Amino acid sequence: MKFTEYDHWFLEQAEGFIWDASCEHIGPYVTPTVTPDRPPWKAEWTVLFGDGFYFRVVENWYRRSANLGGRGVRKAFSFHYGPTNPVRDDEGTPLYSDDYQAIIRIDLDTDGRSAHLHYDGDDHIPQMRVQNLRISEVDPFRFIRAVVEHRSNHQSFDKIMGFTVIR
Amino acid sequence: MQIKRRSAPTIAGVSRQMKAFEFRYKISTDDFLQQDFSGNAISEDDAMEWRYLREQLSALQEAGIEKMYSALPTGSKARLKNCENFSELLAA
Repeated sequence: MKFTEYDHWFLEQAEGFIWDASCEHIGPYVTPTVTPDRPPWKAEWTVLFGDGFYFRVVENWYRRSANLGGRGVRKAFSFHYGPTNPVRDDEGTPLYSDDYQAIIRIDLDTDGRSAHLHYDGDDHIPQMRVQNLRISEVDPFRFIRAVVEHRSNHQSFDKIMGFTVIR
Repeated sequence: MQIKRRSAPTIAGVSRQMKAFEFRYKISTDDFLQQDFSGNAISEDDAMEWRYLREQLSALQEAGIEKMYSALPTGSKARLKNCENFSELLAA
């Protein structure tokens, strides 16, 4: 994907939500690229709800080889929903803390651990234990829609997103 | 809803952010590169951010080299193109 395509897509998707006035937003941010329309780039969005919960989505798009067209590839992301740690960074983003563990967190990183879930008190659940959800392909807005639905009807995320964790 | 922009990345700015991570965790860049992040010593968020900064720094350095190269006279460019390592660098 090219940066301009991503930028338009992200804005279009982000505009599709209606938020309660009590929500506090940090972002959404899309970082400017080093070279016009070329990776790397990053998007991040945190929404803090008035009832002490928040979500944060971060996507990092990396360069590909020039031989492959030089477009960006999503190599890392983190989609987090859970209780808000009152300790925050300079921008107001809650810091990660074991005392405020995620209800659900979907991660893909470049550290070799590959895509995994944190869910229902279980950490680093690998793809092989997750059915009906290709973790590495979850997009941030699917996650945000699931958060909105969960907050609306209190259904569990596995029901909303249709996945099963093999215990 | 409006997409917000952070300021454009610079080598100095990105390097400063990376150093701040290294200072906070009291480890060097090399240590950071080899750290097993599964040990929870470094949070997953911070590890992901540090790696992204490294990617951004690398892109900035490459862009700087390309800019310097484009400003060279034609003769110098031709001589540099014969330099195997430089060609590899530009193709990376």
